[in-house]
Amino acid sequence: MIVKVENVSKTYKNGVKALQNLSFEVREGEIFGLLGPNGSGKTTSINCILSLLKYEAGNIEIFGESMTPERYDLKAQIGYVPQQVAVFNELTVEENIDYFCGLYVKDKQKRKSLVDEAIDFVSLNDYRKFYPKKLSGGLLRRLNIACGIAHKPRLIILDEPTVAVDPQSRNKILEGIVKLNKQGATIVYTSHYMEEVEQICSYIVIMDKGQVVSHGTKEKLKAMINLGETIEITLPNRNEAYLDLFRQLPNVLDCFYKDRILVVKSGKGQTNIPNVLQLMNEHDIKYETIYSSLPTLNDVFLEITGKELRD
Amino acid sequence: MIVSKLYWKLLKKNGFVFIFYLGIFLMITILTAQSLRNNNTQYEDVKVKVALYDEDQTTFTDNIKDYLKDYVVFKDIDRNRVDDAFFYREVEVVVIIPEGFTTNFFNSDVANINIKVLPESTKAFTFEQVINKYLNLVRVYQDNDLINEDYHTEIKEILAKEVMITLPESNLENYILVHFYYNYVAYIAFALITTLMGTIMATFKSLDIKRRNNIGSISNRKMNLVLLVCNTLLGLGVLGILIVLSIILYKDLIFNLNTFYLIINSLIYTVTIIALTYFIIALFDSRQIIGAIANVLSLGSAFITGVFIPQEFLNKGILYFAQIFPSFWFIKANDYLADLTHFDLAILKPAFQAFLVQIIMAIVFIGLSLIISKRKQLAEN
Repeated sequence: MIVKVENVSKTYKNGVKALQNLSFEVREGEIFGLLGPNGSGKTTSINCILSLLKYEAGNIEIFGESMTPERYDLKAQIGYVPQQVAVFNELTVEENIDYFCGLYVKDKQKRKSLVDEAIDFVSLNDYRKFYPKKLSGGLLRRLNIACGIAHKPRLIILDEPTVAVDPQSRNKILEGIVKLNKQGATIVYTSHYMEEVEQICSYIVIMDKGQVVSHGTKEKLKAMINLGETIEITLPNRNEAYLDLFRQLPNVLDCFYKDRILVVKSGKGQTNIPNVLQLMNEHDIKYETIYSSLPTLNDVFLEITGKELRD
Repeated sequence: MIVSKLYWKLLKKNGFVFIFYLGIFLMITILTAQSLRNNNTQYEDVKVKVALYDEDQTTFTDNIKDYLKDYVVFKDIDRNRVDDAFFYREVEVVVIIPEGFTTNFFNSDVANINIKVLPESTKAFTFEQVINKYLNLVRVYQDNDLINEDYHTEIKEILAKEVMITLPESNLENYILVHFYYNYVAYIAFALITTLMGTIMATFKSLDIKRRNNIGSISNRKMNLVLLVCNTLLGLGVLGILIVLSIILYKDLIFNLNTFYLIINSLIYTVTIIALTYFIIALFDSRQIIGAIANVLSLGSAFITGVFIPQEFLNKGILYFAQIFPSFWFIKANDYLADLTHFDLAILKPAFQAFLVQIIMAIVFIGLSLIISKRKQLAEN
């Protein structure tokens, strides 16, 4: 076990209960996703795991040993990429990576080659001598990651590393994380973007209000809910009478409007598309587009908590 | 070590601050030295502007006015607007000789002239001495039955004789340059150390950077120790440069015991300023706020503690308040040490007391910084 969080509770001075009996485990070689809306306790969990925050109850182990602020031997094997870009504006890209790598690696020669590798890894070769203020948001995020991984840690914790990043940079970051995992690092990845977590994580913990609401592989999580399919039909005009018609179709769980889009949610089993098309034909219902999708992690979260991930 | 390497890199990036302050310092020092060299061996008579209202109108009061006209410039100001004239500095002294003054003077010991002076006017300050000299001599004449028709002329002649001033044949008169230089160190060392150290430490204090550092495999204690060593070296480095500059500028004047003690005082002051900066850094997190506080405190304290205006010309209330600043005690010690010609423990006692106050201040600042940092650390949790 790489990380073991056992019944951890954390209450802030203002009385906010950030974590309530939180428990989960991260196994070696996993890309472990911590998914939850903003304020669900993801960053607090990470800060507790890293002993950056004190917690009033519970126990945290890393590499099978109890984690405390003084366990520098454990810290030496951890890489941390904070949510906010944490670099020195007075140092160049290369100098920043060298400094943060130097917190773990004393040997200058070894450090130089590690810094070069990290710069290569995040594709910042053309920006080695650039100061952070001259970098775009996406490049800054890549620098932030390079600073956290240059010393080749065994465990890498990334706290929402793609916030406010353009899609191209986001893909590069996600590809990089998968690459790091393939190189042998265990990854803990927090995000409120379900698509990202779905794309790269092999095991997912869904959090809300400081608690684990569900966990498992993405397939297992989706299998846990009743929803099988969501059909969205864009109509020229909204007609409330249609709702009753669609609700009479077999296996329909729910039917409602989102503006001009009629949403039909069906349970597990065969697709409801043929039935929906037949109904619209019979009643001469005109439509602009029709779209069917399988359940997402957002649907999982919605079904468990009654609210959307992005609320 | 990586942390100290970063510290000096950050210092290098803030080199312009150092050059800026040092430039100002050198400019002011050289200009002041020039002005002091031109003036310090000449004594110029300065006449104070006086509005005098004689309600007694006697020969004696006429004599007083006749005597005073050699030392003051009388201003004819309407009695009703004398307060305005005083406010707008048209006059620096207002004198009212009350009715019956002559009778009271010659028949009793109690005879008062009402004198109102501008508190910040150094010329006005000497006016009372001028008038008292005349009245005291008249009193001597009276007590010895020497009052005759010519007494006024005689007294005027006696008081008009210039006092011969003999200056010792030494560099003492020029030592004021070194004295001024080391007083000015109070401002420049304060501004430089607080600004540079504050800027660098604020960078380390940024929560995200701090957390990233805390995840590193270097212990917090070691990191804080390295930063303390770097900060101390920075402070001593700044002082070292200022001392070397003083040697270059005043090599003919500087090698004596006075300078030795001025340097000891500067060393203690530097340590106190480092401690004060730690206190400021503990209180504030933002680099901009720390920079602003450094400017306000260094400049503000320089004005009220005697760096720019000598302590003897400052208002008592201001000086009382100024005692909370280390520079007050630094200047107090400097002013005392610069004038000494003999050095033994008893003579040096006032200077040692000022040293001690600065050391106590340094301990208090460090203690407060530790308490505040601990509280902030707990709040972050």
